[in-house]
Amino acid sequence: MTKHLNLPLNRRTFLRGLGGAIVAAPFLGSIMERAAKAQSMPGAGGVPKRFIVMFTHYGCITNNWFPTKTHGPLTADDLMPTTLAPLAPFASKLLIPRGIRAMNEWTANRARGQGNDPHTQVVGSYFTCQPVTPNSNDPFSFDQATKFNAKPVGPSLDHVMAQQLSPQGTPLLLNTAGQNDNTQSGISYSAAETLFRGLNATQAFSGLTGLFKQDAPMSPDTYAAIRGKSVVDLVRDDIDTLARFDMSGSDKMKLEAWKALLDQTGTVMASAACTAELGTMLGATQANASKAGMGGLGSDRLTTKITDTLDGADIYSAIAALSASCNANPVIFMKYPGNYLFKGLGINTEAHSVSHRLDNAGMQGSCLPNAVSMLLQIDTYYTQKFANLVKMLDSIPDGSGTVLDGSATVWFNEMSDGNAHNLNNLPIIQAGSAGGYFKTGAIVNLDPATPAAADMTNGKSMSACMDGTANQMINGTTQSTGTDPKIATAPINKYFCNLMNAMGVKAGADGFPAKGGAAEVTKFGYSDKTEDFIGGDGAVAGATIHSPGEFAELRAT
Amino acid sequence: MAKRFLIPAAVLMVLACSSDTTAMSGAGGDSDEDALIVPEGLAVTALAGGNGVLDAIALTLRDGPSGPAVYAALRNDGEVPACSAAFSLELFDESEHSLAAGIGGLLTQHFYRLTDGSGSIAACVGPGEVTMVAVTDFATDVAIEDVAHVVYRSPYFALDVVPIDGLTISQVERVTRGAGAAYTGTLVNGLDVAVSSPSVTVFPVNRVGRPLGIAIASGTVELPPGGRWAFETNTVAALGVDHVAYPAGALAKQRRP
Repeated sequence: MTKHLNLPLNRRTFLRGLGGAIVAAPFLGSIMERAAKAQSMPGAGGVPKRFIVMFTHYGCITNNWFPTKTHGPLTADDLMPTTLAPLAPFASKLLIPRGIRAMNEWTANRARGQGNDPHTQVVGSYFTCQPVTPNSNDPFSFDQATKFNAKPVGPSLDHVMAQQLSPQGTPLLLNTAGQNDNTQSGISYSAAETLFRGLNATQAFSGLTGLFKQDAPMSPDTYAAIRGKSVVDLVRDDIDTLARFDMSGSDKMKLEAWKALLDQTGTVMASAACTAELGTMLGATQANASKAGMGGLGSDRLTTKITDTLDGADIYSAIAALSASCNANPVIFMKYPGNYLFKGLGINTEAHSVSHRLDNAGMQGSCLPNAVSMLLQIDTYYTQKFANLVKMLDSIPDGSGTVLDGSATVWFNEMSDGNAHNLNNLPIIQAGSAGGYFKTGAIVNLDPATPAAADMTNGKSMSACMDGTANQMINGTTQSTGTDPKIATAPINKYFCNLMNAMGVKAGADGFPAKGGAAEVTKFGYSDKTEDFIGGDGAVAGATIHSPGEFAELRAT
Repeated sequence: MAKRFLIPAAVLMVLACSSDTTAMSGAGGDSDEDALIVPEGLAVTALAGGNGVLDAIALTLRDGPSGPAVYAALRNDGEVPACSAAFSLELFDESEHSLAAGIGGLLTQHFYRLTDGSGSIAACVGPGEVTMVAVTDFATDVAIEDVAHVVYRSPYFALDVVPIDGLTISQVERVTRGAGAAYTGTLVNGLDVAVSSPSVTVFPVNRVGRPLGIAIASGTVELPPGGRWAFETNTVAALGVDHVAYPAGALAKQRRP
């Protein structure tokens, strides 16, 4: 006699059956929890998206950082001769947007922004695209009581995005050396003139452990899910067993509906795990976080080995990757410190001074011998850290891809060349397509002066202090090591619009990001023309977003 | 005539700590009135790796009007003017964890003009000159007793400049206002350009010249060349045995390329 399943097959009954008799209950529990979290995030029904930023100070040696090719497919061969070589294995997942300019550049003649300070106004405006206040109109002002304390008049990108995307409404800001930032180095503003404080490794890791699935050793099913196997695959045998039951047409329809639901949510359910095991695999453990978060006075915490293979900075990357995997926060910023002494790299001059090719804080004088070699060392170190972050994210299966694939992971640098303080020709590199939103495996020249040209300039970072001795002079006010200000000026605001749209941030009818809005983001910030920042908020009549919209050239389709 | 910051030669010798790795420690004399660093035991160190010419010679860390406040005196121990200089600092606890960071611009009593043909005016600290700074805008609340180390860096521009007449302060007097005190005096614009939003920052100091706090006067007037502004600061606690006053303001008309 064939067993007839005559009872109504409601959702609870089905889950109880699967959870109690067929599928490991802890796994299902995590499925439902994960699905519930994912549904509150953009991309619900698919792989959750994350925006992960690595931010470093003082620019780079542009000639070596950028590939020679400035437009076209990006290959490992393009990267190998550059300081980006550690990223070569990931070339197919990278996007280099070329020719971008950040807003509010400091110059000695106040030609492209406010006159406060070469760093204060830059970091304040970088992610806000807002001027800073109080304004200073004299680049060498004697109104010093306020000029260094200037803060932007609006919130930064991480907060604008987190207000719409994060359960907490705030981003996860990791200070990778456990440092605190002041207005000359801080990049994250929760509101006008409100500097946001980041976390050290210990604090950040503590915030994650509460999300771990406790007392649940990894079952084969959980492991399979971590490896990217969909839930429908895991329970296929059980569903097939149920399907063999003699059941009513209605129940058959319900079973089919459940199979369809599992197919739809399978990618979510099989998304990255949030377990201590994954943390251990990445290196994000309590012990490592404690070591990385130890006091930093007088020591180089970034390069100090915490494990055989990971240094202090890598531990922060591991925590960022684990946070992404846990869906703890879809907006994660990793902020590297300013004024850092890379003792572990054998560099005994502080990084800001080195960026000026000097052995002191004077911004002008005799070249520090081998300064360019030191800067290349620092550039390579940062690249290796970004590559390690990318590798971690790419090692965590998520749906049909990896956490990296579903993310936009971007390395931003404060400026182009550190001595010139120029904000055009910015070194920016992105990994991951944000779930197919962006092109990858590509360099895209966005420069309006040389559109799509494959031979745009890589700058002039190697135009001074190259002979390794102190026989030359260098001057931080002349911008001699920068890039011609007329080139590589595509406004960063538009790239921020790309990133917001990729993540699912919505705008109001005016195109500016707005919680509760329904439109695509087409505008961000005070102005997308750096000259509009001269004189500060309201000083230039007609300051506005002159070129609304994102960079269509960066879109996958 | 503006009060000038005078430190006895013997004290200056003691204070000459230009080494990057040399820490000053809050020890003091017989009392706070003779102490160069307060609180006692606080270590004050230049960030290793090339701080440059500006060295902290006295520092007070105490509760200010809106959280922790640092008042510091720095001296240019180099041979070139240090222009548009800042005092960037980070506070650490005993276990060397960072507690907070802040920054302030170094005030100056002397003015310079760039020799690059731009005509730009710069505020610089000349060789041997002492300057002061107040940092009161820390991003976080910090308990003073938790602070064990202050690490600072003073970035500046080593510009090619020549001294010019600038803003001067004269007839500074401390006057009683209720339970506290204010400072009055006159600011004169000796520059060849108009100055708007003039201000005067007065630091009461102890016997060895350590700044103890600040009083500020801010104006909304525009001072033409030669113009005078009679000021009175806000009322503060009556501190110290002397005071030092620094002028500031904004160039009323912009120099554009």
